[in-house]
This record gives sequence, C-alpha cells and structure tokens, in this order.
Amino acid sequence: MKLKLTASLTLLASLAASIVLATSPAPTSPAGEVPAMKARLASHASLVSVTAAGDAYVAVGDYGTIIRSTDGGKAWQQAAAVPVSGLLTSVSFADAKNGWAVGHGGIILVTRDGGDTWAIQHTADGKPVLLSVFFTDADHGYVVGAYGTALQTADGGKSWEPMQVGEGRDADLHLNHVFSGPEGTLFAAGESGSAFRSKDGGQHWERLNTGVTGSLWSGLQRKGGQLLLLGMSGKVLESTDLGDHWKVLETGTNQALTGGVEKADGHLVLVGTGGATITDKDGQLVTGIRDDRQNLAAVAASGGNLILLGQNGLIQDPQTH
Amino acid sequence: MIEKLVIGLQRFFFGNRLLTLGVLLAFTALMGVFAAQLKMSAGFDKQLPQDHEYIQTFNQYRDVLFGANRIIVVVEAKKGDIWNEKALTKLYDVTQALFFMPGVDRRTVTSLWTPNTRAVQITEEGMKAEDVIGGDVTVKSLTPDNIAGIRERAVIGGFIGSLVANDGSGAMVVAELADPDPATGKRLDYFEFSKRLEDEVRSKFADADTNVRIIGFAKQMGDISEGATSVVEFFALAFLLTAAAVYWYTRSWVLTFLPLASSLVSVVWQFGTITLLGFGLDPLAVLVPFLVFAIGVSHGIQQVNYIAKEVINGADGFTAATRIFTGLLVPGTLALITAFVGFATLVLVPIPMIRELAITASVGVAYKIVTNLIMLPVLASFFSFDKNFVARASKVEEMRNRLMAGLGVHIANPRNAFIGTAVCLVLLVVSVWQSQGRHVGHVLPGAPELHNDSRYNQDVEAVVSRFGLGLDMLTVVVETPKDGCYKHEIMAYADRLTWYLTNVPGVLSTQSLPTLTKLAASGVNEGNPKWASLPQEELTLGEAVRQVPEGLRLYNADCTLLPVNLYLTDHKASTIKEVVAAVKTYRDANPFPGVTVRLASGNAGVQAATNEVVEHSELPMMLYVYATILILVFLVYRDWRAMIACCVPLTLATFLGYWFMKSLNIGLTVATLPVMVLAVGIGVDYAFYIYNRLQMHLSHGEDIVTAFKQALREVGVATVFTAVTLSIGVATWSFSALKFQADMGMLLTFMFMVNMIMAITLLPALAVMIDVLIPRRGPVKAPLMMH
Repeated sequence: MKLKLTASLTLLASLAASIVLATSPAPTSPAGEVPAMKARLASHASLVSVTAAGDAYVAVGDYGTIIRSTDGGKAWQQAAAVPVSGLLTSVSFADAKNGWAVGHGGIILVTRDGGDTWAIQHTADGKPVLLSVFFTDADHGYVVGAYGTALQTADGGKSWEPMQVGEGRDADLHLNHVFSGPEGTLFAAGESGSAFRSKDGGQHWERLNTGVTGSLWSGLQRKGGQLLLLGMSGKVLESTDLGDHWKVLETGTNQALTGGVEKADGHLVLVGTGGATITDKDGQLVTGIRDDRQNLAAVAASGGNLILLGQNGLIQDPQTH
Repeated sequence: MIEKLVIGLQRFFFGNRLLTLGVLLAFTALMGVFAAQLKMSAGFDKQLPQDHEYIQTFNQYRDVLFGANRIIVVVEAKKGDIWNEKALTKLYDVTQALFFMPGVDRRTVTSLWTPNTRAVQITEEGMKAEDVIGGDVTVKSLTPDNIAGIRERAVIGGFIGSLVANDGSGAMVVAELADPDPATGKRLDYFEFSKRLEDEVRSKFADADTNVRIIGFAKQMGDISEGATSVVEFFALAFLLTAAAVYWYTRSWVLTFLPLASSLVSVVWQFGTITLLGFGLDPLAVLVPFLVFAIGVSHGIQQVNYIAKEVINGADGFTAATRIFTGLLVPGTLALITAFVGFATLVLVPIPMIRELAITASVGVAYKIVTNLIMLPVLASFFSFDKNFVARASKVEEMRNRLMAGLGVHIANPRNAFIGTAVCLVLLVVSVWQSQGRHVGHVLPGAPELHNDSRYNQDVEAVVSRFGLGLDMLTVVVETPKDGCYKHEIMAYADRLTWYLTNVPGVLSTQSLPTLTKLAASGVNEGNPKWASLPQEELTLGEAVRQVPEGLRLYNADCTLLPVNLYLTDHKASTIKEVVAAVKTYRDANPFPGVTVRLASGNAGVQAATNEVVEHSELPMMLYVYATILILVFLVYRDWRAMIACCVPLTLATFLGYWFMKSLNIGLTVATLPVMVLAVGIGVDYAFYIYNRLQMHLSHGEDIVTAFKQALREVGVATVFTAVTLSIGVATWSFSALKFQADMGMLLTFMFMVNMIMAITLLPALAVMIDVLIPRRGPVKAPLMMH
C-alpha cells in the first residue's frame, strides 16, 4: 500500500514536472536544449570552424552560433534556427544543401537547406565532447571527439555506429580532427602526437608513426596529394606517402596551430593561437604574429580572400602578414 | 480678527523691545555654539534612494563585488613607453608605496612587480606559469635584456590592456582598500586617504618625464570633499557682493545692516539646528543655507524699501519700524509659508539627501518669520535717519520712479500687453517643445560630480583610453542555490544571460564567471579553443572554476553569487535605461528555478536607481508645489485672475529652465531636482510682491493700467534689484570645483532672473489682458496681504 502511494506520488510529481515544462515560457527544444539566441553580434561570438557549402560558407562556434555567407565571406547572416546554445566545434557539408555540425554535449545537428535551419539529429551516448565532423557524401559521415569517441553513419545521419579508432592505450585519446586523404583514405588527428588512418571507410583504423609527442589538432590534404598534420608548439608534419612517413616542417613559432587551408593558387595558410599565421613562401613556411594576438581557430579561402575566425569571431582584416 | 492679533503682537514686541532682542540674542548665541560644531560631510550613501530595488542589491553586495573599493595608480611615461629602467623603477616604487599605505589591503596589490602577476604558457608538457618579473630581477639588476623578457612575458600573460597600456605608455598598480579596517572596524576616511595618495604617491613620483594618474572611488570621494570646502569662500564672496549691492540700493549703512544681519542670524540658527538634528553640511545641500540667506535678503530688501519710503514721507525710525511690522507680518508670513510648503514637499522624494535638504530648508524658512518679520523691525526701531539720508534717498527714489513709470506705461498698455502675452505664449510652446527629451542623470563622461577638466576626470580619461578599461559598470547579480557555480545548468544559464547582455547596444564588454570558466576549460585542455565550453561534469567544471582568479570577485565563497559585470559605452540615462530594460526582459522571459537575477550594482547600476527615482519624483513634486501656490494665491486674493496671472509666468519660467538645462547639458539629478522646485518657491515671491500692490490699487478703484504703474513704481525696483543681487551671489558658484555646484549655480541664477522678468512683464500683461477681455463685474477686494 505504502509502496503504491509512493509510486503514484512519483507519477504525480513527474506529471507535474512535465506540465511545468510544457507551460514554461522559456522556449526549449525537444532534448531540453535551449535554442541559440538571435544575436546582433553573432559574428563576434567565439567561432571555431568554417567550411564551404556549395558556393556559400558556414561557420560555427559558441552559444550555438551558426553564421553563413553567400557572397564569399563579406556579409554574414545568422542561421534562422539552431536548437542548441552550447559550443559547436565543427561543421561539414556534403553538398550545397546537406550539412552537419557537432558540439559539446554529444550534439549532432543537421541542416537540409544549406545551413539556415538546423535540427538535432542525434545526441551521442554519454554526451561526450564532439570535436570534428566530416561527411564524404550525403550518406557517409564521421564524427570524432574526446576520449576516443568516434561515430560513423552510412544513412545520412539517421543512425550512428561507433568506430574503434585507437586500440589499447590509444583508445582513450582525444580525437581532434577527422578528414579525408587521397584514394578514399580517412585520417584522424589526436592527442599526444597520435594520428590514425583508415583505408576502408572507417571499418578499421591503424595508428601512424608521426614521431612527435605534442597533440595534433588539425590536418588537411593538399591538391598535390600531400598530407599535413598541425599541432601544438607550431608543429607542421608533412607526408607524401599517405601517412606512412612524416617529416617536420620548420615554422619558427611555438603557438599551437588550429587550422589551415590551401588557397586556389596553391599557397598554404595556417593559423594558430596567439595571433600566429603561417604562409609558405618559396617552399618555406613563414610565421607572422597578428598585433591583436587573438587566438585564431579556423581559416577558409574564398577565391583569393581569406575567412579568418578567432576567439572574437569573424576577423575584419583577415590579412596574414 | 487678524488685524487685532497683529496690533496686539506689535504692542507686545515693541513694548518690550529690549527683552525681545535680548531673548533673540541669547538664542542666537546658543545656536552659534552648535553651529560652530557643524562639519562638512560628503555622504555618498545619502544620495542613493535606499529603498530602491537596485540600491538594496548594491548595499547587500557592495563589500563582495568588484570595483567599489578599487584604487588604480598609473605610472605613465610622457614620452615613449615604460619598457625602460627608469619607468619600471618608478612602477616598483609606486607598488611599494601602495603596499605600505594604511587602508590598502596588501594581499590585493597587483602590478608587473608583484608575484601574483604570472604569465601562463601552455606547452606540450602542460601549463607553465612564471612570474612576469621573476624573483631574481630587482630594480638594481634591470638590463635591456631582462626588460625585453619582462615585456615578452607581459604580452604572453595577457597583461597588455590590463596592467600595461595598450600602447605601452603606462603601467598600473591596482589595489583594493581594506574598508572597513579589519583591525579596528572603522570605515576608511576617503578625504584623508586621498590626501595621502597625493602626498605620498603623486607628488613624490610624478616628474618631468612621468605622469602619475590616480583613479578609484576613494579618490573620487576625496576630491569631491576637497572641492566642497571651497563653498565657504563662495559664501563669503556672495555675502560681500550682496552687502555692496544692498548699500548701493539703500544708500544707508543702517538699512544695509538690517537685512544682512537678520539673514545671517537665521543662517546661524539653521546651522545650529542642522547640528542638533545630527546632520552635517553636505556639499549637495550647501545651497540650502545660501538660499535661506538669499530669501532673507530678498524679504529684507522689501522691508528696508518700505522703511525708506516711510522715512522719506516724514516718519521717524520707530514709527516706520512699527508700520513695516504691522504692514508686512501677515503677507510676509504667507509668502514664507508658500516657500516653506514648497521646500517641505521635497521630503516626499525617497532620497535621504533630498529629504535632509527639505528639512533644513523648511526649518530655515520658518526661522525667517522670526528673524525678518519680528527681529528686523524691532531692531530697526532703534535707529533714526538724518536729513542727509532722506535727501539722498528721495533723489535716488525719484530717479527710480521715473524709470519704472516709463517701463510701466509700456507694459501695461493694453496693445503691448496683448503682444507681450502672445510672445510669451509662443515662448511657452517653444520651450515646452524644446525641453522634451531633457537629460536625466549625468550626461558627460567621468565622475559626474567633478568638472570635465578636473584632475580626476583627466586621469579617468587617460586611463580609460589607454587601457582596455570601462569605468561605467553595471553589475547584474545572479543569485543561485549553494554551489551554483559547480552546476552546469546554472552556469550555462548565467552564460546565456551574459551573451544576451553582450548583444545589448550600449554594452561595450561583459565579464562573468562562466565566460572566464570557459577560457579556463580551454586552458586545461591544452588551450584548444574547441574546449572553451562549460564542462558537463561537476568535478571538471569545478576544476575550471577554480582557475578563475578570486580577486575578480566573480563568485563568492559558497558560490551563491554570480555577478555579471557589464561595461557600458557611457553613463547616459538613455544608455543605462536600455540595458536595465534588457535585463528585465531576459529575466522575465527566461526564469530559472532557484535562480534570481537582480539589478543592479556598479556605478551605472546605482545611477540607474537614482535616475529612476529622480525622474519619477519630478512631476509629482512640481504638481504639489504648483497646487500649494494655487491654493495660497486663491486664499490670499480670492480671485481666479490672480491664480492665472501668478502661475502662468511661473510655468513659463519653469519650462524655460528645462530648456536651459537641456541646452547646457545639465541633467536632472539629485542636485538639480531640488533647484527646480526651490526656484518655483522663490519665483512666487516676486509675483506676490507685484500682484499684491496691483490688487491694492485696483481695490482703491484705479483702472488696471494705472494700478500697475503704481505697483511697479512701489516694488518694481526692489524686485528687480533683489533678483539681480541674488543672481550675482549664486552665479559665483559657477566657478566651484564641483560640477554639480556649478550646475546648480547656473540654473538658480537663470531661474532667479527669469522669474523676476516674468513677474514684471508677463504677470502684469496677463492681468491687463484678462481685465480687458473679461471685464470685472464687482469691485476688487483688497488683498489680505497689506504691503
């Protein structure tokens, strides 16, 4: 009898709670997340990732901020609907319409209209910190994050399957970036100098010998097929054999490198913390430090123009040096 | 009945002249003893509406929030930058001087030289923190090499824009004050502390190459107290100017002595009373004794004007004195009661400062009834006037009469009256229109009490422009359940609130625990910007929270308090209002269980409260004062014409005053609100003098034009003269070191003059016009006030 009473009280309480939720004036999305605020200064929120979406560009960052530009990065508009307000860490588009963004709290967002409206597609178990998303086409996508978290989908994100990237001692390493290499290869850059490669679309992964111990935060594939890994202490690693061998390129900076892009003219631009920007001149990497010493988080190239993001959002004067 | 009473009183006082004066003298001596103990007190708290929601928040948290007790000293190189041996040595000396200064909380002294200034570098091996100036570097061992190292670490540590100017031209020492003193429990004497900063820091370390700039609440208060002492000189100057003017007017030392002496006596009584009530003389309230003095002189001039006229007409001193007693006791009392009620309504403004001012002003005006209406005539009865005076005075009198008669003819001419009235009505419309959107609160940057070009405000300007500092801060206090800062949901709520407020126009930058915690979270994750987020896990969140320096006061010991500091673009009332409205909008639309979002602390928060109260009080105050005047005018004259003729000019004067305030960037503040109310109370005096005579002549059957000419001849010069005299006295305040005193001085001067001009032009013009347009049906009643 007493048990029954307790049970019905609990039921009542949960009912009451759901009523409170339903009548709460704060707009809450289904998962209990608070939607991103329409912000006058959206482009000044901390932004950490940018990508091309067809002819448009989409950047993501703190407070669920997603902004997009359809004129090559000059004017930016905030996305009309984003159901979360935490830090979004990475964004990837399969084509001009279909895109995904991931963030803290295990959030995976999807857009079907080129980045204007977004919905929560999936929340990863245990709400891990997701750090990178990459879609090779509208069906196949990969997500990596903290403590070895790795997921993949073959149905455009409807269902996600875990991937085992690191083995043994490597299993718990943070995976900072997932990107594609030549010949259908996939790469993941991780903590403590770790990097991984999959030649079978994420089914199996192997640890690469990078020869460094500092964390690798990012990587990219150049048009000539060379692979670059970027990391702490100004480390730039280059491989010309699909990641079998890596050599360290001199940068002359100790700042951690957060991202890089190869411009249409084939020149590299790498960016990092403390206002570090690196370009290549005559086969050498040359480092400059911006006067504002702002931590730079991501870079994209639109034609000859750079789109530079940092802790204070979009950078108005994106010259390097 | 009243007449019998007046005659009875006259017999009593003049029958016992020596006794009367003896008693008054004894009372003056007694009050003089108390008055001598009067102290200047610059009470900051008294200026705040203590019951206001924001002020209660401010009071509750003032000792735990950032900024209230902070003092900043900047060592600034006049040429070049501070990265050299000399400037860094100076910085070291200033740091030491502050460290050993009584009143400073030593633990909080921070500069490049203090060990709490550390540069954190994140490397592959982890975080590496080192002192910006290591323990091995001393003033004596500074070399270009290790200075370069110091500079590098200052940049890495992010101290450019905080401890070092953006352009490297200066470096600061920041310290918090131990107030109240933990050992003695006594509150810090800002005046003394500020003086010590001048003596032991500024004058010691500033030289041809170096500026020393000092800002902070304690310094500001100290400078205000210092500026307030100059008031005594202004009072003395005003007294001398008034004395000279009264002599020029009366051509008699006796007639100069009478109004000045009786006015001074009432000021002595008032000072004595202030002391007895336990108040000090506040810089803001310093206008009160002056006004009381001015009102006394203004009545006194009308009285000696009366005596002179009686003496010229052949009366002796004693007779003239008894006549002014009987003639002026009732009307004088009524005029003073009007002023009294006007001042007393200020008690309704819920700001202690204004209440205090209302009480002291009312008391002072009440004393006038005794000093001016009883003491002055009794004193006058002891003097006699020789033939020389009569001859001199009548010559001057005749000249003035001709002047006024000429003026009277023009003003009272019905055609001119119409034109004059029409012009004034147009002026009224224009001034009502022009005074729209008047400023509320403080308009100009810097400490509003001090002039823009004051030393303090120059320092503020220099520091603000060279460092990434905002001085106009509004703190929103987020109250949470215990350990709120370890709960992801609560921190995320405070974070969203911060972001919302960052987006409000007028907000320059924001600072709160969640925003810094996110940076710390990134810091413990190798400095990766993708980790700059609030950890979900309580333990991880706590680890990040603990990285945020306690000195920023962004949380308290049991984590029930998460202040959000907003640095505003300026402290204009419109800016503050918008920000306050945004906070209210957010907290109403986004309630969070167990969390209270409270307004407001910080200097801008305090101003928001004061602005609201001042703005909301002004209209009711004015309405009360006008209602009082209307009722009294009606009681005295029992005539609606009088109500219009007296109040329309006052209204025009008030709106012209508003227009004046707007054009001169004088905001409606705790200092200027009472001025406007008091100005109406004094303005009505002029109207009374003129209208009273007008009515008397009308009751004798004269037509309106003749009646007005007579009235102007009798009291016109005295009225003009009074206003000019008072204006000269008050105008001296414009040179005060305190901006609000200068504002009050200018405003009051303007109001005295405008009210006077209205009383001798618009008032008669209106009276003439009403009589022409709507002819009177019955005979005019004689005024109750027989001047």
